[in-house]
Amino acid sequence: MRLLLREPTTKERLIALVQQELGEEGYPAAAESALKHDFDALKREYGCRIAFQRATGCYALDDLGELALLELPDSCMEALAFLDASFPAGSAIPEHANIRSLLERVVRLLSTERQKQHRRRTGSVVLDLPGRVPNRIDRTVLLTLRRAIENRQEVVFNYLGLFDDDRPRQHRVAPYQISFRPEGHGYLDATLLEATPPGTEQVHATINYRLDRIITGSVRILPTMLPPQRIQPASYALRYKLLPAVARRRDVATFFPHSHITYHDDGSATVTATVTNLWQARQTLLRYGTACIVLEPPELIELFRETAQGLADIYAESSEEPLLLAEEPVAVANEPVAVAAEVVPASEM
Amino acid sequence: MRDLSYDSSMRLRLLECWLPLAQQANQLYGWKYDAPSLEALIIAAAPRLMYAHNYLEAHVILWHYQVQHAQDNKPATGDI
Repeated sequence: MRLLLREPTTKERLIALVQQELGEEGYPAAAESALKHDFDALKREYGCRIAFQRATGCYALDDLGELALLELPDSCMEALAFLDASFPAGSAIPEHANIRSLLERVVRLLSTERQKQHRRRTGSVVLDLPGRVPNRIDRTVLLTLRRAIENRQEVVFNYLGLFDDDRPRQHRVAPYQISFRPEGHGYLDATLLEATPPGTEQVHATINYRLDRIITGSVRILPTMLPPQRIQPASYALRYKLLPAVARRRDVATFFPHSHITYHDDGSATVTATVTNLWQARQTLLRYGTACIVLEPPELIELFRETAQGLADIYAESSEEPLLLAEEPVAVANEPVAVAAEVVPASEM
Repeated sequence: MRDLSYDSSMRLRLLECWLPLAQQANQLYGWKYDAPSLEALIIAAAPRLMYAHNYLEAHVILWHYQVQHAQDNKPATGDI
């Protein structure tokens, strides 16, 4: 039974294990008949259902019946329901599959009554894992990109940006690294070499491609080798002021490279840093709302002006309902899709 | 991951890409790292971060390097 609980198994393996564990008290010469006899006895006495899988030639434990091996107190049943709801079948993160497998095995060890109770209970409280993203990252995409990065080779793929309508465009890029953000999305950091058909993005722009928007099956590694040094992305000196409302506790977060924070007597703070991605910088700084004033660079100030204007247009007091703007792409440095970003959540590119 | 020491643009992008997640972990687990320490943590963890399959793995890798860093900097005890 222990072996069957672990995985479907062939009769030869089952017999071998019994002989190994019980020695002379194991099965007699007619071991197969004895095994069959045991299956019948388990079904008769405990209602265990053991089925033969023709395709694999293995026996599988379908139902433990009355042979409940695990009894849990109510507190543990609650914990089980909590985990079950937190790691639902088909979760976005592939590694969650192992947790599902574990949970299913634990549930199978419960008595029929406890299993029914568990099914009624599931779903009341859920662990809110930030890593649970709406779209699964295709494993092949991830592995192919990683191989291209390691081998320092160009890569081409079809990408469906937010503002690409329904037609993905082909991007040929120099891939450099894969990263993950707090909201759970995975990104490819790459330098654009060519987009077909061309969009508003500039050649040699540094772009963060969301991995789940790369079309599965479209990634190809090209023979072209990349130079050892990355094409130099444009970098900007960033300077912004945080008002006392968010800086008075002197615990301002570090979101950008080379950050230097100066706290002032009035409770405000000035932060200097270096960035290459103005779109990302804007999305990050928008979290502070009106408590952040961007002082440098002018390009980022302009992006904030556009954002502020867009928000003003949407929420103008004269209009009864928020105005939905036409989503016409506008050129924005560093991003594949020039985004009317005021109407999309942070990091959605 | 390639040697980042000789390529300042790679290093800058590396930090820019991973700082939001590292900062989130910093706040979530109360590490109280300042900017240079957080950058050093990312640089140290970079070879492993390269192989993270998802957000959770990346978090665990950062956590691992933070623990290692904390142990390395723990003052020796027991010596008089």
